[in-house]
Amino acid sequence: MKALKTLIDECRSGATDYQELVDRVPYARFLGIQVVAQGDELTFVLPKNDNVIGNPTLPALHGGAVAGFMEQAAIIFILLQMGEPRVPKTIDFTIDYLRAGHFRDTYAECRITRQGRRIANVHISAWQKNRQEPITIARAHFLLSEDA
Amino acid sequence: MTDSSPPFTRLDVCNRFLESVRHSVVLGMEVISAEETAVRARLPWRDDLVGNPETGVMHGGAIFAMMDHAGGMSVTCRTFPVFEITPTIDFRVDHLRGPAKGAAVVCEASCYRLTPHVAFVRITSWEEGNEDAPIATGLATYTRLKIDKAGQVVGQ
Repeated sequence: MKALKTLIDECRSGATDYQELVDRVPYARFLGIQVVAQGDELTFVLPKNDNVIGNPTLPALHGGAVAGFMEQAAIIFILLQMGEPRVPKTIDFTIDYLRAGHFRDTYAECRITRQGRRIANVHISAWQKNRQEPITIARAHFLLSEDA
Repeated sequence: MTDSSPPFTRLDVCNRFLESVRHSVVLGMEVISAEETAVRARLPWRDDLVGNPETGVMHGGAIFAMMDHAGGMSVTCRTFPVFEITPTIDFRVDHLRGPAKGAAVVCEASCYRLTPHVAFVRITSWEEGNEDAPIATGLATYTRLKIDKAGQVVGQ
């Protein structure tokens, strides 16, 4: 298996599909995360799937699955956009639940609010019907490696 | 003399709550104990929950999902024997350090303030057997939806 850094470099140069990087993380495969690139923009997808259901009567997505999806989206975003050679460590993750997550596909986009030498502050927004009506927004800090 | 206590315990309700939530079941979450003031849950390490393929550390999202559900259960233990649907309003988790590869993660959730509409909850996680060195702390609020027949979710 090629080194993670090699895989990241290949993804950034266009030689390898981004999905190969996503699938390198077992938890991302467990959730079924997909990534769609349009130009430089990355949209992450959590396809609807029985395994991410929380409330069975509604049915609604598990808030924890949506949170995990958003955290992992931010990690992949940092690897691809910033060229981090290693998986950044999550320092903290704060999520606001704004609307019910229905049993349908969920999308997420990330934005780096501030990138310091050691710490990145990332905003993540997730939606289902349209991106103007997010179901959740989150803010997270990640510890970057020293040799970035 | 009649016994007015319900024919089920807080642990019974939490276990039925767990069984009804598919994502928590597929994660492998287990409820260890359920008291009025605290709920303990456990998440065994599994290779498909790894977040960093280079270190084998469990993903923060999997730990978050357990802490979120355990937090909801801690509210259930306060409203017991009534079962309410309690969606999360917000949740912050601090990852103090990564759990060791292969270690099960245990968490304790405590609803320290219950108002008519909002529940305030604290959650702490550690590696099983290493309770004195937390790996993550969480702070969350949940809203109380008083839906008729909510108890059917847990078979009440």
